[in-house]
Amino acid sequence: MPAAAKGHSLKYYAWLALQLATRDIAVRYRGTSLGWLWSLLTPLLMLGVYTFAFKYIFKVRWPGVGDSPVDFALQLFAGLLIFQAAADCWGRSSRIIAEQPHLVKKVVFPLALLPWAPVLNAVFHAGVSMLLLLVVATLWGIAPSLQWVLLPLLLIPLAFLLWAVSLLLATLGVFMRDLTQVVTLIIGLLQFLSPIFYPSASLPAFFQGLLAWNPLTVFIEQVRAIVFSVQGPSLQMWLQSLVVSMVLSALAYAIFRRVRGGFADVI
Amino acid sequence: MSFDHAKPAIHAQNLGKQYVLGASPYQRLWQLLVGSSSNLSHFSALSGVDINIAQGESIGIIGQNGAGKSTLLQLLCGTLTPSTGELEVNGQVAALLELGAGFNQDFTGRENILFSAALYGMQALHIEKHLQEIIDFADIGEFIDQPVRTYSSGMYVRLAFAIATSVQPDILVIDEALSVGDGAFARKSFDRIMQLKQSGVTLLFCSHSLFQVESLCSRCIWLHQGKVMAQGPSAEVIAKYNDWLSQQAVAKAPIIRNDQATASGLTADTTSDTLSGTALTPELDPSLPSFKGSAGSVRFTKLKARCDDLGGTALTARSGQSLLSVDFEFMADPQLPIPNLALVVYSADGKIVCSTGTWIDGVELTRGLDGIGRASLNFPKLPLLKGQYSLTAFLMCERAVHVYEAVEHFATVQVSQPHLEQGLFSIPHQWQTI
Repeated sequence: MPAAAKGHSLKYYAWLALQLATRDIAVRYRGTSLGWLWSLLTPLLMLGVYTFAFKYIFKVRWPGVGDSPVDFALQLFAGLLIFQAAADCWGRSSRIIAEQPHLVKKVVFPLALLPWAPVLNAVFHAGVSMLLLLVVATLWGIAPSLQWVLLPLLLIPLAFLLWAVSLLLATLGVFMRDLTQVVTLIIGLLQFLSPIFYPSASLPAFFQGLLAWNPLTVFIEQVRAIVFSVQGPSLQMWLQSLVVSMVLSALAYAIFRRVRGGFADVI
Repeated sequence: MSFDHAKPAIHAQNLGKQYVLGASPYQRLWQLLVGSSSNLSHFSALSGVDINIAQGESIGIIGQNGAGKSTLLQLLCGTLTPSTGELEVNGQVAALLELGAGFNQDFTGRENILFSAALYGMQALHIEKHLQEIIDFADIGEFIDQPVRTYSSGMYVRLAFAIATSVQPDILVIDEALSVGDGAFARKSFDRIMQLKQSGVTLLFCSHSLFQVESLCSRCIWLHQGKVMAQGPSAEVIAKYNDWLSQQAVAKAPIIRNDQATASGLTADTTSDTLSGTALTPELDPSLPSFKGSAGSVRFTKLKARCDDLGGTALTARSGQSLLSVDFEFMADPQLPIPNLALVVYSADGKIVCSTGTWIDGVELTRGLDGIGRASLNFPKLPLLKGQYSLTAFLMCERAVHVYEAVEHFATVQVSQPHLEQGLFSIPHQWQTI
């Protein structure tokens, strides 16, 4: 049932993207007996497992924090919630257009909106995890700070970063069927190339410079800065990440626009 | 949507669509990125098409399979982008091409309405306004709140049709079927399309049913191998097309259509007088009540051919002497206008020899309060000449466009003749010696 839906407003696209995302999230929990509770339960259980493993079994300490109650598990969780969002989202992105041949061939659909489903899904879950991080941090004796309200602001540049990469993967995934395998490998690698299990400050300067090229680094460091650090977040870093995400988005969209006409030839 | 009425609904100039052949996906990606596609073989699905369709016009598109009809329709809908030429489409297009293609299997009918209607550019508010109307029209009961993957194919098209036609489009594109679903819904969907046509919607109708094209469309476009062979008044174009089809058929070996009688389940065993409705048109939707007495249902209850009072599905007749009769019995909801009957006689190679219909002959059928009506058709001194013929019966709406039921090749007639007259039948003639 195609319709030449031309000249829609930005508002309409935003509405459609939101519809896609709520569907995507709802599908994830549809049919489960606990339903939406899982969105809270999954990160909570994850945090529990890490706490148990790192606090009681390995008894590791986070470098540079000393013997403070800020545990390895919390630091780890702060990094993981960003990484998990990217991994969840990018892991699915490469097939997201290729798996919807009817939207490519049978109806007129703004395909660039499709990646917003996993992106907003991931961002939503990252938001829940952030909330959980703050609650658990408070329970473990970290004094709540006013700057904590800034934490959700990180989700804005994060969303655009996730979308840019997702759209690129989704676009290339139409032509490259092997991409899914490659992406899985890269995500596995990224887990160690992002400062999740270690703070980037613990690395030699040269590696810190390399790590800065990982777009996730700045987000992970910012989460930690806002939650644990006294000196607080940096507006400059936030603006920088926003600009970079926007530029990447524009680039990804330009590539998408260029090859979109060929989708129907290969799907 | 308001627009200038002087503007054509659809204007295309030198419209063409080429597909790239033989490139691997990786090559294709590279070509698109670099922007070169010179040294590639192209397949031209459509080329050099010029069309001008005024608002409110009804245009038929005919041609054989692979002639480019679907490509043209998809271009008009915007699902394909033209490779060459210009295309201007003014107004909202609704297409009955792939009904339900945009559905998400895991979501309920109601959620899919909200979502599908979004594809038409309706905002949430507008959809809310039409929601009940769509649900009422689809008439699938409590299934509306079930995931669409649990739907039968009948329910699926009902819902999709309801959505596609509830948006009051400016241009309606129909591929092949003038009605969807079965039984009463088929009639209801047909009425909806007619109603849209009457309200001034531009109609594009693509079908193999030349009869329906001719009765609905004032103008017609004949496509062959991606090119326009002819366009103009339907009667002229269809006549040309039929001539051309006959020429094509001569070139090929004649196809014996007799086997179709058995293929459609009407073997000699079904000589019994009552043809059960289910055997003829399998019910798509088992959840619907049986046809007997159900609202809006119109179908044959009996269909019997006789030759010199010998019934059966394989009849023998003598040319110029036998009396061939067909007895029809139908049941039609008394709420609906009285239907029409038609009979078509095919030759062994599948060509129509002759046809007749109650509306053509000006016969008004009658039916009782129970909706049952009967008629019989007689061909005295059967003028058919030697050969094998088959009979197809139609039960049609009062306008003789919508087909309630077609029973194809329900009987064959083997005609023998005592003399060597040539041809298919003997037309009335007189000799005079001067």
